[in-house]
Amino acid sequence: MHLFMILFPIMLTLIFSLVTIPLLVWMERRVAALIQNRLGPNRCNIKGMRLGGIIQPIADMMKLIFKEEFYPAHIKQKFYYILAPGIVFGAAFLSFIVVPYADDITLDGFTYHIQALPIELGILWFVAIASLGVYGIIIAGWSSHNKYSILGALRASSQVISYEIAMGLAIVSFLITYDSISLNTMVQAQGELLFGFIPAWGIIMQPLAGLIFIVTAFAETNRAPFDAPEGESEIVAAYHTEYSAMKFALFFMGEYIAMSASSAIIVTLLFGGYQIPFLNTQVMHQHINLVLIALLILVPLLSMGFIRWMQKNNSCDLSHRRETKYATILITVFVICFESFLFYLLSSGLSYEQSSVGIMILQILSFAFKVMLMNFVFVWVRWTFPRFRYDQIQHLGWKILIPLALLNIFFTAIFVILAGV
Amino acid sequence: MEHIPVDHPYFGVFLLFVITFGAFYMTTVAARWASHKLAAKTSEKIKLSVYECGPEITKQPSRISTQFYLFALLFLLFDVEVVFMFPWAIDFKLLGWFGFVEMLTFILLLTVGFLYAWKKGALEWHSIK
Repeated sequence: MHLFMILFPIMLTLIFSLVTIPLLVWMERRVAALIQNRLGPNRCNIKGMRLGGIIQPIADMMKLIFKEEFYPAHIKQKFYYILAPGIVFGAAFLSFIVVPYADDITLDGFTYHIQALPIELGILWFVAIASLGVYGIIIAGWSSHNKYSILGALRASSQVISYEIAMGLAIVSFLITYDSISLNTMVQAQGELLFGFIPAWGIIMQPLAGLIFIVTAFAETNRAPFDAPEGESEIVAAYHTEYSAMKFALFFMGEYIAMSASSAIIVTLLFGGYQIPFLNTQVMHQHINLVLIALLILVPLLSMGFIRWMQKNNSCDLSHRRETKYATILITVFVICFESFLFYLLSSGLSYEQSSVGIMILQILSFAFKVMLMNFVFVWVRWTFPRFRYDQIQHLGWKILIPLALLNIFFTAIFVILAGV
Repeated sequence: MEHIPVDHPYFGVFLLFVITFGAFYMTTVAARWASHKLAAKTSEKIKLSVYECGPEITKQPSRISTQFYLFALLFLLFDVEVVFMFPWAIDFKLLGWFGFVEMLTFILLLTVGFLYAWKKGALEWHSIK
């Protein structure tokens, strides 16, 4: 049990970073299709099971693994050429580690942090490790011996360091507000209520710093509208022009993990992390039976809505009939099992430890939901806004975001002194 | 099993680092072996050449626009400022007005430098004509 509770947050980190990659690729392509009014990937299937196209990214992954692995003849520094995607992937992966997935939990007298790296430094670790990724990009561009690559690498590094200042300044405002650097303390502070009815989320306490943080997070991950480093129409694929097969896949995976990690940090700082609005850990402990009854009502309603929606969408195509039938049966069986389990819990009553495990699961689900929603915003922005020109990116970073962030710190400091001391 | 320090806070970092290294190893050695055995191979000279005809292979420290160096220098300056502000921000409620005035002086001094760089045109992107 002890070992499991220590390995549990590490497993969660793996799930949130690695397992979500195919899901994110799928989401990116389906949302792009939705925005551009087309269908998106829906042909790949295993015996007629399409799962809405989610088989496609898995097929893509298989393709990338079985591609021929070769090195272009003009690459001289093979060591750096191979090392670069590893750095990008590793930096994105390790930056995920400080995010708290649920509140601290006490079992058998031990207090466990649901955080793979339970240290006080929190946000500093994220800033430090996430910006290490730029080394991978520079090395990739430098060792590729290609003009596109070196241009892309320079643009990426220049853009990332420009936005890092604004990001650091935005974080300083959050530190003043929360009076702590530990992410878990920040999330616990966001569980309180402001004026008794608004959740005290970071975006409400610090709207301007929140906006600056979101913009800089977009720029740090090199995603649209800040994707000048890999603007396809200008410099092909920039720093990964000369890469193929799994080496390319590592860059690709690194990009999606970085996006997921940015979403996780944005959610943790701005949108209450794992907190369910109006229900922080203490409130849930007091009203655990009400929470169970709410689940008892909500889960069947949501599943019924989902089944209706699926049947309506699949009714036009006869080839979907078998899949629809199986999915309906599966969901119904799951809901019945879940309901009977809830009834059992309600009738037998919950001990303190059982209810804290239940609350932990609810908080992890809430966190996962928020992260997926934020990932959706990333994809939405990518397919909505055109790419900035390079000098416009630098203009926004240096001349708008940095002065705004400094002013925000100034006013926050004055407000905190006048209100608090 | 007793020798593994699972209680250490950095144990997770170690484990994830091992996984990262595993993924890295997979892509370099194992994937190379697998594709050597499984993938179709064609030996064309053109496949191993640089992407797209036209661009020549660059010598590595080829000419880089000085603008990038300027941004790097400014970044160093301002990142040090941000690093100074982190401990200040955490202890801000303790320091009160004293800390506020001290930091304001520091930032004002830096802002003068920032405005100088701005007015000098260091933040503009000069197009080469």
